[in-house]
Amino acid sequence: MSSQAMEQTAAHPANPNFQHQYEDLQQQYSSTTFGMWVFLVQEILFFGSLFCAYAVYRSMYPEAYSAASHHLNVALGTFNTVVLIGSSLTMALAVRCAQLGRNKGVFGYLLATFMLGNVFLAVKVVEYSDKFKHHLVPGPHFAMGGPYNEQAQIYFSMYFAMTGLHALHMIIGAGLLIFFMWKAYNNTYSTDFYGPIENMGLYWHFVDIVWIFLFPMLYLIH
Amino acid sequence: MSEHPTSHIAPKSLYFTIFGALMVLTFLTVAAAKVDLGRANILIALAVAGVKATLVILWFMHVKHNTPLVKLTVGVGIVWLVFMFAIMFSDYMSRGMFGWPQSWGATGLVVNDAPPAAGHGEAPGH
Repeated sequence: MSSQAMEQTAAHPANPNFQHQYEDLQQQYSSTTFGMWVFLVQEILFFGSLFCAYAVYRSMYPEAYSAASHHLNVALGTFNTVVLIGSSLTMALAVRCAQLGRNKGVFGYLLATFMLGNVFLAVKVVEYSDKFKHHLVPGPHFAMGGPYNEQAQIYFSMYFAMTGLHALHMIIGAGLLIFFMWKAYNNTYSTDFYGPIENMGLYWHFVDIVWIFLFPMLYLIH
Repeated sequence: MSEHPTSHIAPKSLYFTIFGALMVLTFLTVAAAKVDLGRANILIALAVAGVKATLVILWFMHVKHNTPLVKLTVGVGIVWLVFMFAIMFSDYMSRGMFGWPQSWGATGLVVNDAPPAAGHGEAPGH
C-alpha cells in the first residue's frame, strides 16, 4: 500500500461517500461546489439571453407590454413570490441541518421545500389555464383586443417562454428534492459530507433569484 | 478526521432575518408599482429585485463566507451578463430601433415610420 493511500485510509476510515479521485473530503467538497457554480454561471447567461430578448422587445413596444401585463394577476404573482422565497428559507435551513449532520432535519426541511415548490407550480397551472381561457396564448386564437393585439403576442410569448422555462427548472428541482430526501432518510449526510445538499440549495436559490426578477418584470411594470 | 468543509455555519436567526427582509422588499415593490412614477417605476422595481437577489446570493447561497474562487466565479457570471446587455443594447440603440435616445419617450419601431428612401416607391418629381 502506498503512503498516499494509507494517508487517505487514515483520514477517512469509513466514509462511503468519499470518491477516490479526490485528495480528501475537503477537496471533494470545494471541487463539486465550484463545479455547481460554473453550471449556475451558465444558467445565468441562459436565462439572461431571455431577459435580454424581453428587454429589447419591451423597448420596441412599451405600450403593448403595458397593455398585456395588465392581464396578469398581481395577487397570484405576489402569493407565489412569498411561497418561493419561503421555500428558499426552508432550503437554506435544510443545508444548515446537513452542515450539522442532522439527517432528520434535512429530510423535514427538504419535504417543506418540496411542498412549497408544488404550491408554486399549482398556482402556475391556475394562471396558465386562465390564459388559455381568455385567449391570451399567442397563436391564431389570440384575442386580447385593443390597439396592441398583434404586438401583445410578443409579450405573452416572452411570458410563456420565461415562466415555462422557470417552471421546468422547478419540476427538475422537485425531482432532485425527492432523491435527496431519500438520501437523507438513509442517513447519508454528516458534518464531513454535506456537499450534495449545499449544491441542491444553490440550484434552488438560483431558481428563486430568476423568479425575483421575473415577478416585477412580468407582473408589476406597466 | 478532516476539518469541516466550511468553518462557517450561520445561526438559524440569520436565515429568518434574511427571509424577513426579502418579504418586506417584496411588499415594498408591489406597493411601489401601484403608484405611477413614470420611468422611475421600472428603476425602482429592478433596484429592489437586485437587492433581493444580492441578499439571496450572499447569505442563502453562502457567497459571503466562501472561497475567493467561488466569489470570482459569481462575479464573472454577472460581468458577462452585463456584457451581453451592454453590447446588445448599444447595437439596437445605435440603429435607432427604440426611438431613443434621439427622441426620449417616443414609442414604437421608429425605423418603420421613416419615409421611404429617395428614388424608391415614388416617381421622381412628385
